[in-house]
Amino acid sequence: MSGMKYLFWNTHKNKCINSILCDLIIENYISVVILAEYAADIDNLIDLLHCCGVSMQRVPTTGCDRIHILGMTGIYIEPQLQTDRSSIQVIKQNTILCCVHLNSQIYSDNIDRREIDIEQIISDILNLEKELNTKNTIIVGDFNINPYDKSCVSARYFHGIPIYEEAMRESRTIAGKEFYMFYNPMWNFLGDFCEPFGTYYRSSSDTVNPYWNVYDQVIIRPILRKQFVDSSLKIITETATISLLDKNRHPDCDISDHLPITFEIKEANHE
Amino acid sequence: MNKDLNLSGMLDFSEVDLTAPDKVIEEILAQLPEVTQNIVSGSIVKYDGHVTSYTTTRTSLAEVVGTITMEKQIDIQDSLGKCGEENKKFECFLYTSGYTKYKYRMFFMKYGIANYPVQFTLEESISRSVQGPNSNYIVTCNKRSEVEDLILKILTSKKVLGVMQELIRIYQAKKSGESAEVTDTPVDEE
Repeated sequence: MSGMKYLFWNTHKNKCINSILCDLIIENYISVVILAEYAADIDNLIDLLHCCGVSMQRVPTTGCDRIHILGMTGIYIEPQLQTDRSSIQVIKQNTILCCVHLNSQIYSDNIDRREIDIEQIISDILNLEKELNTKNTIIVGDFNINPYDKSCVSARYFHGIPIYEEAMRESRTIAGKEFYMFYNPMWNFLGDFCEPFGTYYRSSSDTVNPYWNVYDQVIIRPILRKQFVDSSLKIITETATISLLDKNRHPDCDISDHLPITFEIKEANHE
Repeated sequence: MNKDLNLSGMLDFSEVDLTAPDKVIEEILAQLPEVTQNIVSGSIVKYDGHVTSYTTTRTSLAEVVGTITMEKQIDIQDSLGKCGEENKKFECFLYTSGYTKYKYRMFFMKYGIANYPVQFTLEESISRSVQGPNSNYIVTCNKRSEVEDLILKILTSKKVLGVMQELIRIYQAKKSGESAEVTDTPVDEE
């Protein structure tokens, strides 16, 4: 195997989503599956995959009810800190995978709480990076904020920088304190040059209403940039047998109001 | 002196248990392994993350184009209360013998130089489980007995019992998997 392929999807509490998930996992050669708002029977999904010759097992996220994780059998994934909104795992003893489902953008009261949650998540990641002496860190999930939102860009929070040349500075010192950066490749999905125009569509009466949002994101520490396969980062809109979009080319809410994302991280020594 | 200072009834000299809240909680958590057949344990440790006041700037698309911004002062003391000048912060979590690095954070706790009052910042799901929906996840306890009551409520809440139950099941499944592996291992004939 040249690398690890990840799938993240907010499955919108759809209890009948396993067959679509099974197709997504198989068609995209996924090694690690991260699900938010998953309400179907995960053992049934494992059985479906098994029938198709794919052996996956549950990764414990006990305590973090919002996240479910499956890993290809044989990949060593060790659970770490679990909270209401985040599940931290260590893959193969050297990669930190932080899976998040932050609270919704819809209610303004949630903003302060979300920022406190992000601060805690970043603090927890920094502690673990220090303990494991690694910066191989991936944060993936339903951020419920766009790449351009302050909590995504600010040094106090995710510090997700869209340009690798800048992110390779690794950190910035502000008022005497060092803030480490993430590289955020999701900026490449903003705008209308390529379809789909985001992972989540919402038309609202708010003054700020971009219609399409890139709430489902992956951000990585700059050190992982060279292992990150650009062409693997996709917002998936279909399987071989079904479209995930409705007739308006928005996410089909009968399946999920979010579109899934996939990405691949190559092995460190892979050329 | 013609005037007597009479403070009778004005001050409370009754003995108050001012044992540090983390010690009180430690005593309760120490019982966890025994009641979970050594599968689940709890710990309370010092925490140095952000629980401070800060200024935030509300921006969205506007930030990108450099236009409308609104500053808003968030004073965490408003929600966490005043605890004295020297604040001690802790986090409390469950862990299991099944996974050495696993932990489930239940709450943060903060108190000042006088030990009480003590403020808890509960995980949202625990807050809902202990106090019902739409409850405040910030809880203040003014004395030892209130801390003890809160911790017992947390540990016996539906949410935390659910976590402990799942950890027990995972531990059992892991153990049974390990014993099956031992049984399946062929005897080395060399």
